[in-house]
Amino acid sequence: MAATASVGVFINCPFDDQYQPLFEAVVFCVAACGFLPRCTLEQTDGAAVRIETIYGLIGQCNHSIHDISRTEVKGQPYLLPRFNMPLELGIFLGAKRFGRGSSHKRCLVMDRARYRYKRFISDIGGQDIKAHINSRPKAIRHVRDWLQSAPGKVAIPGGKRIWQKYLQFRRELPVIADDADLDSEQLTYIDYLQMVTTWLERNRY
Amino acid sequence: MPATKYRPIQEVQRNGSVSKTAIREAVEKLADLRRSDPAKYKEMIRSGSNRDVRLITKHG
Repeated sequence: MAATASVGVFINCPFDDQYQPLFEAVVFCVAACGFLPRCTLEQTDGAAVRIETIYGLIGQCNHSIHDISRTEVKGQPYLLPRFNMPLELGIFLGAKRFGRGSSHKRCLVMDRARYRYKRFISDIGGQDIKAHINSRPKAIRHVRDWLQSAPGKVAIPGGKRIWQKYLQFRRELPVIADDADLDSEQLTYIDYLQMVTTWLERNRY
Repeated sequence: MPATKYRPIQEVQRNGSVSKTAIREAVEKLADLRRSDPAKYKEMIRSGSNRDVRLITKHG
């Protein structure tokens, strides 16, 4: 059964060491809420053009999460900010505004501080930007609360409950990876997602 | 409201290989151990606690 756009959640976030704990928690939370997390890491074809992959994911997902917390000059060569995340947010907003039948698309914008975005992307002012303060429980709560308001509700547990489940999952993850003959220090996104969904099925709320 | 339905990942799977059966068996095995032998379960969790879990992220 192919996933439908109504359950797809495109995750647009940094893929660096510092952000990874937040990313892994957000992926777990999206799956725990009954949605399907999607991101460019699922594309393993080296010949695929990245921007086309992004267009495809935005087209295939009614929901998207944009984390713009890494838009900064700190640690960047030439003191220029990384701008991939705001670019992808802009593509999503364009799709929502101009795409045929795309007005139902919804997004969650997160940053590490609530009003920081006003310094570099003030045109999105008026939208409710959520601050996760680089905290996994806070990111989980924001994602969960946002998905709860999506059409076609299912029973979605509270953010605190998802966080507790996530901690249990993380404790078991190295053992599961080892037992499945996977290298826990070099997991692919697909393998991680498979472990998340299989674990959730077996450890229901 | 209906219970949460965890979404299958076939759509995603098309783009990569998945050790699906091995993962399912490992998850089942650990869940069974947690119920049947809590002491051994705790020992296994402790032994895994010093191992890091990292995703391969090719780009950013």
